[in-house]
Amino acid sequence: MSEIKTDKLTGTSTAGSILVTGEGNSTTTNLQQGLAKQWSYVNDTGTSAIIDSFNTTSWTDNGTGNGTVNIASNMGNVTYNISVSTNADNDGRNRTCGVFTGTNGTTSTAGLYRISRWIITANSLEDGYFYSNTLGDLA
Amino acid sequence: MALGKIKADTLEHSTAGSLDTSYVVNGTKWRINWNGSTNVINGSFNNSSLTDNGNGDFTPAYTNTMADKAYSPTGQAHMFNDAGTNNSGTKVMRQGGESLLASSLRIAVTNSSWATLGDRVSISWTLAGDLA
Repeated sequence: MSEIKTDKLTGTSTAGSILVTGEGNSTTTNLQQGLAKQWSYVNDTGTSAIIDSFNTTSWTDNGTGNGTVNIASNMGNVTYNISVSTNADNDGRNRTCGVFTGTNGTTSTAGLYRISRWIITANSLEDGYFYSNTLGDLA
Repeated sequence: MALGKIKADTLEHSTAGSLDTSYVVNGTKWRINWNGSTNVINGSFNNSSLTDNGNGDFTPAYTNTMADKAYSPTGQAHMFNDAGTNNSGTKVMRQGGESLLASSLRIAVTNSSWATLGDRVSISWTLAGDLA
């Protein structure tokens, strides 16, 4: 086993781009593009709080079942991918969640995104737990 | 100067712990974020094209193909409001048979009723798996 001890990896040709050989031993993939840039696990029941996170400054509770994830080191643009999941209710069904985009898809900014959780059958918001992450370019 | 190449099984940070490099190799291999109404790709990685097959029916294709069809794609169709009244969903399309290919996959997007296909303004998909 070989081991590299370092606090920082930087590309030689382009600082923010390092290639990694893929599983097929020929094609390469991009290290930076393959890494999650932010994730958070939020308890939005009662007094909401971040349980654990990476590259996240805070959670803003916007009201029942919805809030804002505030990113520490901003993304490079607003075209990053956001994935969010939530907990089911006690019998394991009937809840879902999503990212609020607004009618033109521009609500997320480089430094934040808004997510909501609701009861499918009732179309009404409800507090719960949020699990979210982002992929894309850092600033 | 020629590009360097480092072979290692572990990366170790001075304070943040260490990481087996298999986690690096097994990172995300593809992502796309697009507007389903205009078919404009907002951001992507390892994506070569996006085909609009009809209302709420899309086929993005990969630049570097996967090793096989045994990979894991996940996606999200974002909603227009945060009141839970105009939501949407997105799934792997299996109508007509298997839609996961080494070079592409077919995606279905549902509108706010969750019952019919519909184009949404912000759709995101990623995948994890083995490159060819």
